[in-house]
Parts: sequence; structure tokens; C-alpha cells
Amino acid sequence: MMNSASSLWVQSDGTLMLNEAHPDFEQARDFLRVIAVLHKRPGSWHTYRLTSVSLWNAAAAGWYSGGVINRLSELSGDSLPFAVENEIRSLMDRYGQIRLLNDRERLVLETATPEMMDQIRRREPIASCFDGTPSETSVTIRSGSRGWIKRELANCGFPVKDEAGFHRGQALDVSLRELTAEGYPIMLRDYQKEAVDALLREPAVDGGSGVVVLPCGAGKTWVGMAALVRLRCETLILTPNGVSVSQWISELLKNTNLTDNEVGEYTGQAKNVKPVTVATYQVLTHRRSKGEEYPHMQLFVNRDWGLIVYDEVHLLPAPVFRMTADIQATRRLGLTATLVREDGREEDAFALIGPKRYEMPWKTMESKGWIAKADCTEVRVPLDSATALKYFSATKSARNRIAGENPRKAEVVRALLSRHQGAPTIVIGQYLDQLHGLAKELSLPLITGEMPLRNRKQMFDRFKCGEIDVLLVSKVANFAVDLPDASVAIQVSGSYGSRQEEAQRLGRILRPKKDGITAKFYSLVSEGTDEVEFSRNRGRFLLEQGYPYAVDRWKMAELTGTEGEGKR
Amino acid sequence: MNVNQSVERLSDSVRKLIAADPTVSARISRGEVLPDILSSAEWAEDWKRQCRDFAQIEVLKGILVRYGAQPFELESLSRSLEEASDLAGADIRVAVAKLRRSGVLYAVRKAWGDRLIYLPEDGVALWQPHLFPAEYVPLAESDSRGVVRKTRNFRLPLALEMLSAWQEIERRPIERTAKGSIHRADMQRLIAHMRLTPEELACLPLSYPDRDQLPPQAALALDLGLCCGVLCPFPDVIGISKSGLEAWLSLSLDEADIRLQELIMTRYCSAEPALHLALSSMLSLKTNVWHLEGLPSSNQGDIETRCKSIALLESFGWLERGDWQGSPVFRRKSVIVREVEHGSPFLIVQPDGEILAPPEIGMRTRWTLSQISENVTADAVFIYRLTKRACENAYRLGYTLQSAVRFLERESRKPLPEPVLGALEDWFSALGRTRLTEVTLLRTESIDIAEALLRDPELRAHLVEQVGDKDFIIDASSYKRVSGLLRKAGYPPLETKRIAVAENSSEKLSDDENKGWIRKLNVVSVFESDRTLPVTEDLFPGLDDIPAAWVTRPRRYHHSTSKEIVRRAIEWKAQLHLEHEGKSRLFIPTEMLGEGPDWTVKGRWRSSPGDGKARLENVIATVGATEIAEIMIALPQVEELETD
Repeated sequence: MMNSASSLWVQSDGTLMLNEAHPDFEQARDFLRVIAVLHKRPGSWHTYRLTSVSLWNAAAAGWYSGGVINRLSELSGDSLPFAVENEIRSLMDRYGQIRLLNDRERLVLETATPEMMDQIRRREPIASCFDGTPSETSVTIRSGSRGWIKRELANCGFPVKDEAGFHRGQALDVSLRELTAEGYPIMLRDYQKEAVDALLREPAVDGGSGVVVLPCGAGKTWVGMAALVRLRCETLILTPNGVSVSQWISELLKNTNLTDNEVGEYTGQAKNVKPVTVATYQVLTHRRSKGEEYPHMQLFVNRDWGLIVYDEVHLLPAPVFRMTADIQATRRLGLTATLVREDGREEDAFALIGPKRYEMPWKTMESKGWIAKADCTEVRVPLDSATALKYFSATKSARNRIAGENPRKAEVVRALLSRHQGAPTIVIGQYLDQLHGLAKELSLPLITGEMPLRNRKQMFDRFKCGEIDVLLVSKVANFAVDLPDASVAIQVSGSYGSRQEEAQRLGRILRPKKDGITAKFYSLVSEGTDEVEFSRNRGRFLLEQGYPYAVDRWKMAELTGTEGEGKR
Repeated sequence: MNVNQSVERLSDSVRKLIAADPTVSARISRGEVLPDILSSAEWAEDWKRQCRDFAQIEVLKGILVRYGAQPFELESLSRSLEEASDLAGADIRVAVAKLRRSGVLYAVRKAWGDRLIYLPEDGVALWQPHLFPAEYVPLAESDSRGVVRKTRNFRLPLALEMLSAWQEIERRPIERTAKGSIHRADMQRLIAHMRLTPEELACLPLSYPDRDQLPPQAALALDLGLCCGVLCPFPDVIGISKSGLEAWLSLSLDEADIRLQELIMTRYCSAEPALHLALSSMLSLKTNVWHLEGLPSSNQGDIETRCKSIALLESFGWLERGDWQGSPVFRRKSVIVREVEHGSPFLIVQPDGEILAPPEIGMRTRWTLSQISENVTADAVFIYRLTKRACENAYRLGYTLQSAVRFLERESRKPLPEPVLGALEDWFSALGRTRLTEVTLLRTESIDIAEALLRDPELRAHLVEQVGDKDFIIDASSYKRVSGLLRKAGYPPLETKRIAVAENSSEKLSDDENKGWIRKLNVVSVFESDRTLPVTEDLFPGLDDIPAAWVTRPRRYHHSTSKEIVRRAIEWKAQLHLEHEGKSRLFIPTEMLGEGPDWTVKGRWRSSPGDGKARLENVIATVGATEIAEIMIALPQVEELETD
């Protein structure tokens, strides 16, 4: 029976609800962070979910099922529902039951019991990796099957503790600079150090590879650089797009002693393989025809990498996963703001990149001042009569675009830019026609996917150094584009209901500001259209992260006689 | 029938006799009424404490075990108890008569005169704690911490399970086919909102129409809804009874579950007395205390019945199982587990529009929540979500933005979060702007006539709104009056046949809201109540025709007289007091053997005569006429049956 006066409520489906207002909140939250996935925290009650991966991660972090069950029982004030307890036991107790070891250059899979070996050998895809007949509790694995067997077993619900170790890779003399270009001392933040420490534990204690979860703006690049410096080895860095590649290279050159000769770009535009190479997922998965091999996957093996960094690991495409399975002797670091994958392949990420090694949620970072505070405002903009007529006579599918491109949004953008004059501002939109129209009407520079990468980079650099204070951008800027000083974002249109997009866009302005000001995020939505509901869906993720939206209704000059906005 | 209904059908004279019992009369003098007294646990406890008659207690126990609340014939009880107990048939007959006189047992007569005795259906729960107190061993609180819960499938308490099903019926009433059965789609819709499975209900002897079509959980939801008065049969549908629902929602969750427990026991389990008794025993245990499933003694029914009972109660969410150091344990669940700091429990409205309803939230609040939001999760904590569609539904049910906000703020004891208020304002803002409605239209042939009507002040008062130049909307309720005024004005209206106002769909087909869907077995209410209680002569026919000494003191008789006495004892199934081999002993004769002076009688000896708890010896004994020194028929005490 649930004791609803406790800090924690445990539902029979494994959902955990934590009361922020309870005196035990903080210690309960710290515990849940280890064993569960934060699903949302829209108000004072935070929702967590127990998943196979979250429980394996907890086991990898040193927790035992009995301890987890006891702690949850204590926090909830009663014994756990049977299904939940059973799930925790069966999932966590499996961790460490199957281990991968390196025995005189042979890769050996060991099970804790003969029954377990019997259970797994009956699965054909797993048995096909065996090199010879298994003994009661151990079997030699074919070389090159290390990742494959880990993934197959994880998908069957059996996590593998990989203690086979890593090769060092080609040594590289690399260190962090002492001072930034501006003359400030370079120092890692505590949580960045902790993240690297957690990642690089000895393989014997289950370290060496895994995922670090930090919010947008928390300096995940620094974690990557710190890992590289700690390991001092040649490193491959994979990112979602070209702009991000440029930014990684720029940060590496600025903050480490690496030189141009040691850092290479491997993208559609350039194919330089150097001791530290930064590439896009896109180029790796490029091929001329569907049946062809991926020619650029060779990048994984054509140097002796000691570390591979997967930036925005939740976006890792399936072919890269497959390739990653083949290079399991190389240390891997996944960086992401969320462990949730849209394709549901969390087990693959666990098996092939590694367990979650470190996590710090958005609001915690905000409270410690590591990321900026942000105010989110939805501005409702009415349609003019001609657009309204067009909207209501259009098919349902065409309506979203008409609402998104509402011409009156230009006036609102103008007013908001005027309000935040001088503040580094990005205006983000979904539709290129709309963005070109705004660029023309408001005389603003625009970055889209159509623009060559070099030009994009130049434009971002000019924005960063303060030469231009307003930048119009298409969805190319959704991910992994570092605009540290942007403090205002105006979203003029978005995709139908992608919650991740909204979060990523907010993430662009969350870098802590020099003067500590609160970042402003505006989402312009056409009043009385379906866009209101789409926007509500998009905004839900932010609400769930603890960023509530205020709603303002724009009163157009021609309607009211005065320009400006009026709060409800 | 329950105690209340049974008492109501008694004759005044029987009621007076029952009221004369000291345990009853004291309560009547305190202002209590007979039906309430006879169905109260305190009276039952009092009666049991004061009862010195071993036979009555044994007979009542026997009835509970053999028949529960099922009606039975005295002969059948007698046969079965004579074999299994130490009682003679005469003891049983007299005990039954006394129990009827005490208001414990009741009787009806079939059309052809046969009498059926019964314990009222609520009598099992009334007497079980006193006659078969639950013997489950409770775990100490310190031991309880080591219990691992084993209930596999989460189950809501039945009151909430039913509420979910009935809420679905409110959203769309259950349509009935021309033959009165349930549409398949409606049935599917109903069971989609339930967790109960047919397998879990398989142990209940449920008999209802369309059994092959309608799964038992759906039949249960309909039957309980109809019996509780929440549902009501309308002409073509089964829908919600507003008054019944109102009464039901005024109950607390615990009260609702208790009412459902009574119905489950009396309507379905009463057909299986062992199950009825086992359930009653488990439901008499203290809530939230773990008990060992095993029993120190075996008088709580067989293991199979106990397991069945535990499984059934587990399915109804009233009990959960666990494991304590390898021993199976169980505990009754109770809804109320929290000391709420500031009075009643409250909802939690999250800024993303989700509403958390903790377990203590009452049924009325839950019902309203289901009307204005969508249920997302029905677990220990119910989760609802405010959506545009839910607001449309709420508006259809008569809620406005203000009333919905008022409800949520009152029940959450906080102003609504800004995003929630904004969303509700958005969603409600588009509602009710247009309306399709039927009105009564007064049409005129020309503008002139329309103007003439407008000039008539009396008529004008009834014209609600002018539509165009020539037509007016009038208040439908003033139809007759407007018709008269038009005549008076010289424009008698051409009346098209008035469409009869459709029966309001909320109008009930029948007042009998308690009519269930599942047939109750062995219903005694169809028979006429037995309006008299048996007196001694009814129990022992011919008693007045024999010498009084035969039943008052042991004496030596001629063997032919002794034989006659023995015959009479066999006929009455009474025991004999015999002087045999120098000892005074009780003997229950069953058969007379031999003719003439050499007759013998077969039967069984009773040991320890006179202690009131004599035990029958198992061996069949034969006693010859010559072995009997003195003889007497030992009748049970019947004086009180003769007292008016």
C-alpha cells in the first residue's frame, strides 16, 4: 500500500513520482538519478522511470538490487509492488553475471552459472559468435565479435560487463593550455572533472567507456577535450553537422596545445585525417547507392585511435552503431543532453558505447549557475484577414505552414528585436521562404543549409565576436552549434510537435552569460490556429524540464491603434 | 434476503416473540428498532455470549458450514448434522425453532406447504466472527518489514475498478439489442476499462443472460452498478441513474468497498457456503496487517477454498499477498493510509496539465475529474490529463471554464499553474459559440400579420425572438397560451401535429433500480414468509397423547411399554435415558429389531450424560429389551417455545 505522505510514490508499472516539496527530496533525487531516468519535472512532482538501461547503469555504478529495493522501500514508506521489485532484481542481478575478459589475447565470455551459459548458447545469433564449444561457464569469442555479442545480449536483456580492456591507441602529446586567448586561466568545472573521472575508471572496475549526460550549454566539449588530454592518444570525434565540426576544431586549437597539423576535418568538404580528426555522422554514412558499403567508415580503422568521442550520441545513426560494434577495443565517450533516443535503441547505446557514467540535470546546473536562467514566452500573433481566409480554406496539412509563416510575425520580431536591442539574438525558423522574407524585411543576415559551410562558420564567428548582434538561422542551428553569447532566441516557426527541437533551440541560449542575465526564449505562434496546439506539444518538454511558458497575446497596431504587446 | 427484509415479512406475533428476548428487549427499550438490532454485530456478540444452549450454537455452526445463506429443508439439515455431530434429530429441530424465535433463522413456505429455513444473506458475515473467528496468525510489525510483496498483477480496489467502468457508461451508455442483450462493441468498450479478467472470476458461480457473449467482468460491472443504483435500465440502454450516482458518490472509498463486499458475498458467493464463509473470515481481519496464510487448525475451510478466496480478494484489490521468510502471507488493503495534514486529501495539478490523484481522493472528485479530463493511468496514483477533447466533453456535460477552474482550484487547494489556466482558457474559448437547438416557431403568412401580432401586448410577451419579417420563436412551454391568444386575436393557428416531446432519455424505464444483471440463485423472497413458529406439539407430534412420565423421569416399564417408548423416541429422533448395566446413560436409538419380548434396539451411546456437551460414540450399539432397567425419552428443553 502506498504511503502518500512519503517523498516518493512507486506505481506498479515502475513509474516513480518524487515530491520536490518533501524534506527528503534532495537525497531521494540523488538516488533516483542513479537508478532511473528522469521522465519529466513539470511542477513540484518529478516523474522518473525505471528502465533496463537505467538499472544496468545503476549496477555499473556499484549498486546491488537489494540495496536499490531497500532504499526505494524506505523512501516510499512501504515494500515495493511485486512487479517493480521483481523487475529490479531480475535486471540488476544480471549485471556482472556475464563478463568479457581478455585471456592471453583471446576474448573470453564468462557466465556466472552453467544455466546462464546454457540459456545464451541457445540463441543462434549469440552462439554464432562463439569460437569453439563453450565449457560450462566460458567460451572464446571470435575476434571482431566483441561489440556484436554485447549488443545482441543487451537486446535479449543480458548486459555484458566488458572487462576486456582497451588498447592505448597511438600516443599523442596533448595538454590543455594554461590561459584562454583572452588571458583567463583554463580550469575545468568540478562536474566536468567528475564526469571524466567517472568515465576513465579502470576497466577492471568497469570503467573506460560510456556516456556523459549534461544539458545543452554545460560544456560537453570540455569533457571531451579533458578526456583526450587525460588519455593522451589519437582521437576521433564524431558530431552531427559541419558547423559543429568547425566549432570542435576551433575549441581544440584554442584550448589545447594541438596545432593545425594535428587536428583534421573530415566532412563533405574536407577529408583530412590527422591525430585528432573531427567528422560528421553524415559523411560516415554517405554512400553512392543503397547496396554499397559505406566507404568513409574506414575512418574508424585507418588510424590507431585511442578514443572515439560521439557528440550528441542520442543522434548516432544505425550504420555508425554497427561500425562501433567492430571497434570495441577503443575507448568510447558519448556526450548527450538526453539518453532518450527517438528510435528506442537505448540498449544499443548501452552495449556499444557503454553505461551512463555521469549525469547532471538542467535545473541543477541552473541553480549552480553553470547554465543561464531562461524565461520562455509564447507570443500569440493573430492572422490578418487575408491569411486567415487562406488558412481556413486550406487543407489541414497546408494549414500548419500558413500559420507558421504568418506575415504578422515579422512585426513581432521587429518589436522584440527593438526591445532587446544590442543583446545577441538568434531568430530561428522552420521555413526558408519565411526566413528569406524576414531577412529582406528586417535586413538581417541569414544562415541556412544552402549556405556553404565556410560562410556559415564566418557568420557564426562574426556573431560570436559581436560584429553582428542578430542572426537569422534555419534548423541547421538546432544541434551542436555553439553560440555562447546568444541571450535571446526568437522561434518564428517550428516543426509540428518535435519536443526535442524546442529543447535544443532553448539550449542555444543557455550558456552562462558574462553579466549573469536571464536568457529569453520567445516562440511566436499564430493565434486561433492549429499552431497553438503544436506549440503546446513542443513546449511540453520544456515544461517537463521545469521551464514553464508564459503566454503573451500580441495586439497589432492596426487592431489597437498602438503598437506593442499586451499581457493577458 | 437480508435480515432487514426478513424481519419485515414476519408476522406481528413472531416479531413480538423475538422482541421479548432479553438481548433484544433491552435494545428496543433504548430506542433501537428490531431489524437494526438483529443485523448488528454487537447484538450477535451479546446473543452468543448469553446463549448457554450447546445445541443452538452447534446447529448454527452447522448451518453456516453447510448452507451459508442458502435455504434448506429441516430434514436435510437434520440428516447431515445427525451424522456429523453429537446431536440427535430432536435437538436439531428444537434448536432451529429456538434460533427462529431468536431472530437468527427465518423460514418461508413453498406453495405446496414445504418449509424452507434460511439464514439471512448478511447473517454469514454477522455470525462468522463469533462462531468461526478467523485464526490467521498476524505478523508482528517488526516482522512485517521483511515481507516481500507477491501480488503479481496490480489491482485497483473494486470500488475504483467499478467507478472506471461506470464512468465509461456515463460517457456512452450501453445499448441493448432488440432482444435485450448487449452490443459487442459496448461490451468491448466496457472491459477495456477494467483490469479484472474472466479467469479471476471463474470461481464465482455467475449465471446471467448471454453468458457466451458477455465476459463475467462486464456482467459484474453491470450487475453491481444496477444493484448499487448507479446504473439504471432505460428503454434502449443501460445508463447512469443520476440519483443513484449521487448517493453512491457520497460514500467514502472504504464505505463503497464494504458495500461491494456485501454484494459480492451475498449475491455471488452465497451459492457456495464454504467460499462465503472463507471470504467473510478474511474480510473480518484487521487491515494493513500481514497474516500467515496457513492456519493452526483447519476449521476455516479447506485449503482449496482458502486459496480461492485469497485469489478472489486479491483480484478485487482488497488483499495482497506476500512472502515472509518462505511462508506465504497476506494482508487486507485499506485505502486510507495517510494522515493528511490539512484535512481532506487534495489533487496535484502539474503545470503540464497532468493531475495526480493520490489514493485517498474520494469518488466524487474522481468522477468529476473523469468528466473534465482524460484518465492516463489508473494505478495507486491516478493520473489525469487536461486536453482540448476533455474540455469539449466537459462542456457537453455542463461545465464552463469557471466551473472547471473552480473545481480544480478547490480540490488542489491552490491557484492553477499559469500554463494550465492558459490552456483551459484557450480550449474553452471556442466552446458554446454555436448551438444546434430545436425551437417552436410561429410562422405568419405576411409581414402585416406579423406586425399585427407584435401590436398585441399580451401576445408580444410570449414572442421570444423575431426571425426575419414574418416568423417568431416562441417559448415552447407557452405553446397552449400562444395558441389561445392567436385565436383571440382572430388568427387561429394551423397546428401541425405536435411532435410528442421525446421521452427524455434520462427518464427511467422502471423504478426498480436494484434489478441486477446476474441471476441470484435460490432466491427465497419468491416464497411466502412462514408466519408462525413451531410449538412443542409441532416438533413432537403426539406428545400430549403419551403419559407425561415417559418424558419426565426414568422408570422401569413392561418390555412392551419400553418398546413403545423406544418406537416413539425413534420417531421423534430423540435420545433415550437408559438405566443399563447399572449405569444411567443416554442412547440415541435408530432402529428397532425383532418382534415380541425379544426386541433389541440399535443406536449409539452418548458419553458423559448431563454435561451439555455429550459426545456420541462412534460404534453402533445394540441394546436388548432385557438389558434396560429404567427408560425415559430425554427431550431437549422446550419450555421457552411455549412462552408467548
